[in-house]
Parts: sequence; structure tokens; C-alpha cells
Amino acid sequence: MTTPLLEVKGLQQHFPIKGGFMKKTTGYVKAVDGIDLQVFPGETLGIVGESGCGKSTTGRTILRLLEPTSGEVWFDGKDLAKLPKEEMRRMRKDLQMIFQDPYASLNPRMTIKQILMESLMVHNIGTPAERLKTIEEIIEIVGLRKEHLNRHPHDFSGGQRQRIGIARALVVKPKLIIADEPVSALDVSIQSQVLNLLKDLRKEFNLTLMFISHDLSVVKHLCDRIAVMYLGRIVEIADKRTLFENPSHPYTRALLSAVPVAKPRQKRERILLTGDLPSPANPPSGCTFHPRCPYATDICKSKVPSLSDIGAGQLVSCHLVQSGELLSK
Amino acid sequence: MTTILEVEQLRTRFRTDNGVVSVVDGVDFSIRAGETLGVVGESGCGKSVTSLSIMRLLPPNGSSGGSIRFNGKNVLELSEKEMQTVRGNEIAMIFQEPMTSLNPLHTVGKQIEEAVILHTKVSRAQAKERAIAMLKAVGMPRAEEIYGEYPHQLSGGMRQRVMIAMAMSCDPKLIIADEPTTALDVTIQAQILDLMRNLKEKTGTSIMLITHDLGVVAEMCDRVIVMYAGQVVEETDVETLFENPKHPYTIGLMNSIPDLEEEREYLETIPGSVPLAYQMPKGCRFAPRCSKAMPICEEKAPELLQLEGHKCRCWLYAEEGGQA
Repeated sequence: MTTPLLEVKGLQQHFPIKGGFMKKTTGYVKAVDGIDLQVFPGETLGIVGESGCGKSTTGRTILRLLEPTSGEVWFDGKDLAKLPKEEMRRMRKDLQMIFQDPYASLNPRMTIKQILMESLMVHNIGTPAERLKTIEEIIEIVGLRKEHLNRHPHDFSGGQRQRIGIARALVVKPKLIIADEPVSALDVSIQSQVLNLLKDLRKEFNLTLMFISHDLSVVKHLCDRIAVMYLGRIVEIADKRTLFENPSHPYTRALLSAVPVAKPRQKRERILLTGDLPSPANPPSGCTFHPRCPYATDICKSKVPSLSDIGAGQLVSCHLVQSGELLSK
Repeated sequence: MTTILEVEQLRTRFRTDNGVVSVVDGVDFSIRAGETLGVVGESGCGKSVTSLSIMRLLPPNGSSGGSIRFNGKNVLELSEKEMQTVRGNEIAMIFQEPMTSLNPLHTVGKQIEEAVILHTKVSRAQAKERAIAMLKAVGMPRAEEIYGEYPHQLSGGMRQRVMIAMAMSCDPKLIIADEPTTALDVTIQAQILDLMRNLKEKTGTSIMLITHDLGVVAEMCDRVIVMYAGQVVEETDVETLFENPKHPYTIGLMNSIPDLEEEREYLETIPGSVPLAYQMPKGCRFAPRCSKAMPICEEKAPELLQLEGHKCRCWLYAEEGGQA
């Protein structure tokens, strides 16, 4: 078995809730509450879940855009969570991010050239002439032209801006890119252009990608393995085919069945979940999914299930699946 | 089936710094009683502006021409006072963002009541009863308590239920739902779509469902119009649309969505982007992005051709005996 490029162990991100006299901490929002995952070289790992499940916080905490509450993030033999700030800054060359909102993530006062140059200068890569050559290459790779380099972000459409965001992440030749909902803000016809570009780049640069999205069809299209998150924890993780053909966790099943399919004649059996996502400031006891789970029993209310292998590398965090009471389809 | 809404040659223009721009340019469609019509298109295609034109809710720099006949009356010719009896009463609207369309300073109960009192001659006590009954009808647990709560105390899905309760409270004949589930998570979206379907079956209201999500269209609609750059480019029933789409734009749109069941290495794309409202191409508006464009497409704008069980605005079908 190959060694993972990124290994996350017990990652937690708790945000304090402050209130009352002297702004005392009155509680914590457990946005990420103990996550273990591995990303192998060359693969694309998808992270799906609904809003508030902690998928974006996970990405940001791995990159230390947020300081983790506890846990380990092993990358290239180093624990990122404990690196001194200066060393972490140097590591950022290998860990890049693509953001969701192409309107908010590019500085409107800089030209595209300045935006791309900045990444290279920060990491001290190449001479000025080499840098220019690199960015001229990269801008064409992402499907724009050299002439575009002297323009400002407002001259571009949403799809083009997202291409610039991708170019900025690629220009320093990172080992891992975390893409947080990179196509959610785009119209479908533009979304498909960007997805195809990501596929091409992945081949060309042998990229390792962590792809965070709420859109299951996009995740299925792009990813090799998929982790499903619910309320700050991973409930199921498996390779793409297994997850879609044999979803095991009751939440995964409900999530997959809820996606509307563009086939009017096909009537599918839908698992309708009742209620809303509970607050991560006050998560339910035991398995956090139990209040909405159609199969929940007593053990689910009291004991937190562990994420364990049910075969073929499919990890599921559910008492009933693990004990065989709830059989896979 | 009777037609309750008939839109003919609707043109909506806005005065802007770049001159007058036509955002909706000659749109025709109709909605029958009890039917759900889907309006599909990408951002900027004019689908939301069409609905605002019907409700006469355009900002001051916008104006509409053509005719919008609702129950025989031309909505565009009504006085503002007459319009108020239509709006919210006969035609109700559900918006995309339930947080910005609910008043944060009033309890949800008061907001539903307001609509009831405005349009029907009932006492406050009856209005309250009606509001609570509506909250129950949209599947709210603890309806009596939620009546007294403020929008910020509710989740996104609950707020959208409140919007639906409000829209349904006066038994409207038509509900215009503009991207009602776009801001919601899939599991909540499934709940809301299920609710809308059940309410429609019970009350027989017509729905105009504006969305960019073809999956939602397939599940909810009877008939569909596809809009591109301010025009209707295709109209047909929902099954025909998915099995036999005709307009190259519709086909491109369908092939650019990743399919959950079918695996493809690459998605089809539609090159380029939507033309700007003040720089419309001379001929067919889709021609610059169309893989099947012919010389005539760049010269002359096609009409919406009437084919068998299908309407399509494309020169490719001019020979099929299509008539404008």
C-alpha cells in the first residue's frame, strides 16, 4: 500500500461561543469534531455534506487558515498542526487552495499578472524573467490568453475568474490542492467547462486533489474516493463506485436518494429525512444522526459509533451497519 | 383545461447607463389551470424578470410591453389599486431567499396574518386561526409556538415553509416560485418539493416554477419552457423535453450536467458565455455558441416554430414544416 500524501488524525475545530459578562466562553461550536482521513498521491478525494456539516472548516483547518483545536495533520513527514508559523508559510507552496467565490477571492485592484506573480514572489521561485515565462504558460494552460495578464478581475466572467483562481493555485506547482466548492457559483454550462479543465490539469500535473462540494453529481464525476460528512464527523468513506452502488450509512442513503434526477419517467424511492440539521453547538448524544435516523435504536442514543471498515475499504460510522442489523442493499 | 395565464409578446426593458436594454424580448407562453410550468435557463436569461413583470414588481427603471392576461384581464393595464387585489391574493410568489423576503422585525404569524387580513374580510381572531392552520398545512411542528417566533429563530427549510404558508394563505390560483429550493440543502429540498407537490394536488393551484436545476424540473413540472438571452427557445411537455430535446442550447445544457447514473469521462460544454443584453447578436442569439450554426443563423433571427407537440426557436427545424 502506498503511503498517504496527507493523513489527518483526530482533527478538531471548536469555535468558542462568547457571551455574557466579560465575554466568558459559554460553550463551543464543534464544527469539526474528530476527523480521520487519508489522501493518497494522485487521487481526488471528495468531501460531501450539507451546509454546516464542517466540510469547508475541515479544508481550512488542514491548511491552517484556521488554527486547529487538536489533532494531527501529517503531510510529507511533518505534522502541519504543530509547525511553527514561519515553517508553515514555506509549506504553503505545496498546499494550495481554490475558493468558491471567484468574485471575492481575487484582489480587484491587482492585474492578473500581479496576482499570479505574487504567489511566485512570496515563495521565491525563479528569476523575474522565469516567473513571467511561468505565468504566461500557466494562463494558457487554464484556457486564457497572454493578453489577459494585464487586465483586472472585473474584466472577466465568473468562469474565467475561476480559471484565474485555478492558475494561481497551480503556478507554484503544489503537491496538494484543496478546492472548496470551486464550481458552485457557476452556471451549469460554465461549470462543465471548469470541471473538464480540472480533469485535464489533474492528468497533466499528476495532481492530488481534495474536492469539497455539496453537489453529489459533481463529486461523483470528478472524485476517486468520497467522504460523507455529517455534523462535524465523517459518517462514511469509500471509493466512488462502492459509495454510490452500496451506500451503507443511513444518512448517505438519504442524501443520495434526495438528489433530483433529470429523468421525468423514473420514479425513485425517496428516503425523506424529517427535521433539520441539529446545531453543532449542542449536538445530539451518541450518534449525532440518531434524531433523524429512521432506524435508530437505544445504543445509537447513548454510544458514539466509531468509523470502521466493513470490507473493501468502505468505512462506516454506524452501530447498526457494523453489527449487521442494517444490511447493505 | 382552461388557461389561466397567457403571456404574449412580453417585452421588458430597463433604462441603464448603457442605454435601454431589453431583458425579456418577445416571450409567449401560457399556463393552464392545475398545471406546473417549469421555466428553465441560466443566470441572466430573463426568467426572474418575466415573473416580476407578471407581478408588476419591476424596479422604477423597468417597463413592460405586450400583454399578460390573467383570468381574462390584462395585468399590464390594471391600476395599482386593482393590482393589489391580484398580487398575493390571486397570484402569489415564493422567492429564493427566505431570509431576505421575510420581515425580521415581525413574527412569522403576524406576517401570514397580514396577507389574510389584507385580502379577505375576516377578524383578527379568524386570521390567526387561518395562519396557524396554514403553518400546520405546510408541515410545521409546534405550529402554535412558531406562530409567535421570528424568522431568525427558524432554519432555512422552516423559513421556506413559512413563505409557502404565506403564499397559500389566500388560496391563489397561481403561485410563482422563483428558485424556491436553490438556497436549501438536498435533503431539505426533497422535503420542500414533496410539500409543494402535495399542496398542489390538494388545492389545484397552478405553479410557475422558475429554476436552473433540470432535476427539479423533471420531478415537478408538466410542461417546460427553456429561456435563453431573454427569449423562449423551446417549449414542450416534460417527457418530450428530456427524451427528445430539439434546441441545441437545451441539448447542450442537458449534456453539461454530470449524471449520477451514467459515467462519462468528459462533460459536454457550451463554449463562450451568454451575450450581454446590450450586445445581442444580430441573428440567432445562441449562434455564436452553437456547434450547429449555419450561415443563416448569423443573419436572421429565427421565430419560435410550431412543430408537432413542440415549439423550438431554431433554423434547423425550419424545413420540418414548422410555422411561426
